[in-house]
Amino acid sequence: MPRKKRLNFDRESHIAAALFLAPALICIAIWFIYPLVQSVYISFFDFNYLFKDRAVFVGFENYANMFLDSEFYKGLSHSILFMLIVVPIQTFLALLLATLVNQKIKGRGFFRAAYYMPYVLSAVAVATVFMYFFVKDQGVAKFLSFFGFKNTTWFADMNLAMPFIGILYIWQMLGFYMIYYLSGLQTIPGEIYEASQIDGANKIQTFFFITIPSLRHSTFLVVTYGIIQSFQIFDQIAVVTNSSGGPGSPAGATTTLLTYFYISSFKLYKMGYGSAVAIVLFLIILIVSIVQRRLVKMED
Amino acid sequence: MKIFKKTLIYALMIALALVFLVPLGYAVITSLVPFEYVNKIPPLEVLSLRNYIKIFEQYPIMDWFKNSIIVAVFTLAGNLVTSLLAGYALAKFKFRGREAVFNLILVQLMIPFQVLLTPLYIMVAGLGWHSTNIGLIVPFLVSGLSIFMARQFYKTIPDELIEAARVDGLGYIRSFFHISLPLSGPLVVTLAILDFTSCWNAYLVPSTFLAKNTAFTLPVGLATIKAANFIRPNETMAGVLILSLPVIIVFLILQRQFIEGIATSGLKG
Repeated sequence: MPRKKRLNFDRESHIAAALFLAPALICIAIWFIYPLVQSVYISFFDFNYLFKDRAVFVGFENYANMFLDSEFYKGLSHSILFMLIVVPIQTFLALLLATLVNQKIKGRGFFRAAYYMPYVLSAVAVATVFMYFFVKDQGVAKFLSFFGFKNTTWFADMNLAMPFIGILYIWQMLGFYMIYYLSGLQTIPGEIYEASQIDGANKIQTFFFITIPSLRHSTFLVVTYGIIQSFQIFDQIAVVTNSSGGPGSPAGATTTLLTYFYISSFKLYKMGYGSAVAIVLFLIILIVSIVQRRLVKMED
Repeated sequence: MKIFKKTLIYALMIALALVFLVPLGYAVITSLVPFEYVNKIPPLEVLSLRNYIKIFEQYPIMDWFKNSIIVAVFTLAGNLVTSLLAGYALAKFKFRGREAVFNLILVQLMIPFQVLLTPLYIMVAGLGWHSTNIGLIVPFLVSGLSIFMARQFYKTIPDELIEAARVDGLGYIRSFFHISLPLSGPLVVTLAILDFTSCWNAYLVPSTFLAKNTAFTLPVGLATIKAANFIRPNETMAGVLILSLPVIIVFLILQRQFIEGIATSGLKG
């Protein structure tokens, strides 16, 4: 008797689950699984969108060609360099901002909102405004020239175009990572601080020996998510370069793995090749995610 | 000594706030002045909305605005339906294959969107949706992150509450609509904020899928204004503000929810 009852119970919940999941699963099947398979599939073809019916199966040739193309290495090295420089700076500054706005002081809400605000803006708007500050003889370009930087239009300069993208990117993303740290700071129990005060630790010692170790989990999130996000930077580059020759300009100074993919697929319409590049990008991000998961498991 | 330290911290915080607010202030002021006053301190009487009017006359801004609103509203509505239902099923229903479905959602979270961009472009163009709003809506009616967040939210609703409803004779489906849905306010607000801002600010997909000028959304439109009008900062800044003001206003009203929303979405690690 109980067994039969359980069966009914199961049946009802299966029907309910099917109904509730149907809208999401149908969308996922059509707009996620199918294109994902398609992406892998066309990466094995010499497929140009302008000559759709002339697709030829080429096996791994797209992948092989990629590793022979110096532009690809340029994009890859820019992406890695960008990540290596941006992620530590943004992690450090996010922690600083979070610590500041976590204090019990007047106007805390205002400061939180002010620091977070750039994140809600469109990258198009932010990039546009920043460009005016970094024109030769203007605002920030002029100011930084007193510190030994060249007084020039940053986004038109081979050496300064990528740092310019980095500055506006960090400016926009900081508030987001600040919130991660802030929610981490709020989970540290007050007793730990009291105990360390009794032990005679000063503020700076407390910060380094109590706060930072307690924030391990937040730091981990900020760093891994920061790496994944920084690999996918695109909007800022596309907007900054849209009047001067497209993503990558000037002369490949802002070429990243993603702009390289974009130009292959949507400027040259070599979509088979573009898909192969996208899959390499995916594999890199997958490795980061797997390492992340391993580390989380190790901690548990 | 203590006062000195406090002043120092305030000074640092205000300086940082200026770093974040000055660019916005610059954009606002520049958008209100005639060309000859750009980068100068303008006398009050020269301030006017003339740049805005000019931008509205030169570009189909009303079309862009309409497109942006339509795309954001429909994408958001679709996402709420798919993610509330799926998130609830994953949190509260027992059924075979639940693990598999949940893993599928996690996989979707992990895959960088750019991998899908090329096939999506081919699909959307094949359906004749190139340069249409529908091409920006239908492929994005479901989001792994939204489903994930809905699941986490419904996990916090105690099972006893739902079981009590079942004792009262409500089925699985009706207990969702009668018990859990009315409690979903905070979840809906969080998802609405995240989906709306990401949709409103989206550039990669719209700039790839839209070729016709009147089909643009605001970010794509602004990028063309910037490209054509860069030498006239006052008009470009008017464009920047037309794009940014709606989000800034929503942000100022819902600050707390914005910030809490990000904090909960970060728990996915």
